[in-house]
Amino acid sequence: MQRIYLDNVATTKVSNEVLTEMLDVLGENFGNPNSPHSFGRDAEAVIDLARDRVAKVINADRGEIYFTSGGTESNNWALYGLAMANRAKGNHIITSKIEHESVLESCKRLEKMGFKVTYLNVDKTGLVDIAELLHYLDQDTILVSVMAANNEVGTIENLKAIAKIAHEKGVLFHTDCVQALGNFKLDVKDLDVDAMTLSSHKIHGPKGVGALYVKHGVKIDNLIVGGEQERGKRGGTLNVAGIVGFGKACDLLLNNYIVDCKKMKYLRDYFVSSLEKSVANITVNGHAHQRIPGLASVTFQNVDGEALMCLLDLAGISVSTGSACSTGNKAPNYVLLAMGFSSEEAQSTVRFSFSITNTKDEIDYVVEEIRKATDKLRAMSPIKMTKKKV
Amino acid sequence: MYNKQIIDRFVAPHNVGLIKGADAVGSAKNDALGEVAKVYLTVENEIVTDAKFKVFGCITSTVGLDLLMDEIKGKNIEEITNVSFDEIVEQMGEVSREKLVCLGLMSDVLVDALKDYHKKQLRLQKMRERLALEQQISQEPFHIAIIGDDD
Repeated sequence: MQRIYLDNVATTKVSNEVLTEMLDVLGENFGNPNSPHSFGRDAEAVIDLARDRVAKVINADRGEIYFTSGGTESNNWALYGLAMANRAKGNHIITSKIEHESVLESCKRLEKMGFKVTYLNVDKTGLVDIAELLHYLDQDTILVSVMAANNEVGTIENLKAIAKIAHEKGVLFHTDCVQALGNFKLDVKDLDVDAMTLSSHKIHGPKGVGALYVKHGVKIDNLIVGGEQERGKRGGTLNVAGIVGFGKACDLLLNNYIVDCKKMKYLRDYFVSSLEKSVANITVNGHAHQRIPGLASVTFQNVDGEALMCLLDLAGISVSTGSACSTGNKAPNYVLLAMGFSSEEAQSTVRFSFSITNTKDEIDYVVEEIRKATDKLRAMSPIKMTKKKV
Repeated sequence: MYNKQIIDRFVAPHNVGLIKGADAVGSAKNDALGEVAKVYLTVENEIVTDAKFKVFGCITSTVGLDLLMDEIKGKNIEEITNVSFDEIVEQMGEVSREKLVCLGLMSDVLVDALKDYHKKQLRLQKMRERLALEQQISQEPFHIAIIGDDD
């Protein structure tokens, strides 16, 4: 049975070129980059190259890039580090209700430490309410953190507008770009951000490595102490092979992302139009234009998301869902609920995320399996359909 | 997340469907999760002879309900709410703690089915009584009284 992977928002396959560079480092270049001898210098050299590559892909300086263990650590560090370093100026932080849990939980921890946090609402497409941001910015606000692209429905936020508003009030702006990198051009100077979270495993790099961009001159306290690595800002021996892989993935991205994005968009649009012709009573979620190219979030009326995911999995197709049961949570996906979905809608929403390695033939197969599965599940449901059929 | 037992049963459940003119119909909804279940029972001489269900819900709910329908067949209708859900969970082989909340539909739907059964039985009983009364009336001899007879 063929296996078709359509969960690239969760993670991506490491590309062959990345793997080759990593294996070389794992095998021969095993030194500690902090060691003064030749083995250490060799390892340091590949780290420097990786740092340059990561900096280049977001138009940053290499001195503004700090390697971490991934997006979660970078988000934790950004929120904690920027809040603590700037607490003399105020104690109010603004973020959105649809941020990744690493941001939301960091904010909850900061609240316990005495900070005040405002969680902005979003509309049904997932866009942050800019008017609300303006309303809540005050003289105590020190940080605004809004993600660049939402991982559930793919909506891209109005980053430039948010950065401008924040800076007009002298407030720092951090953005979680874990889902954005590789899906549209990120330029820290053009966006005028103060801190940016990046992750390797969403761009065909290895898991367990990411980065935090911190603009020159922006103060940030350490999250991890105990070591002079990363210019004294993040202790711990560097994951050399992982960082090399991340750097290579960024390098490939820089050269290919325009073509790759076009292909992912084509595949996504082909999937959506095929699905709309084959399956009745579906809704495609997220912003119509302002969304990342490879993601399709679809709500199937009267179909449980977990059940659909299971039937597709048995047919060799891997996707993810906003239903409660799929992740072991007791409630449906909080991002979808914050966007105004009902529990039933969130339960019935499935996320399909494509990569450049997917094909039209695969999509044809997937659509047919979705049709069969939704027919089966709808026949089992006691709820009557409300809209017209295809 | 699910063992083979549960997946096999989910793919080919034994008791999905509806019974037209069922003697008892029960519905339940889990508002937090948005799940909905409906059961249809045939009852003869107080014994459940057939049980079917429909569900908009996750794998755990679907399989739980399917096993439940098997469990209540052959039972006295008044005892269906005494079914042991622990046994059903055991039959499923393995249900994580987070998934147990999905099984809440099972007890709610049986309670509702029993209520419906009682309501229908009461209605049936009233109809029988009315019918019996009408029959009685129709069998009594007519007595024609002419006004002024006793004058």
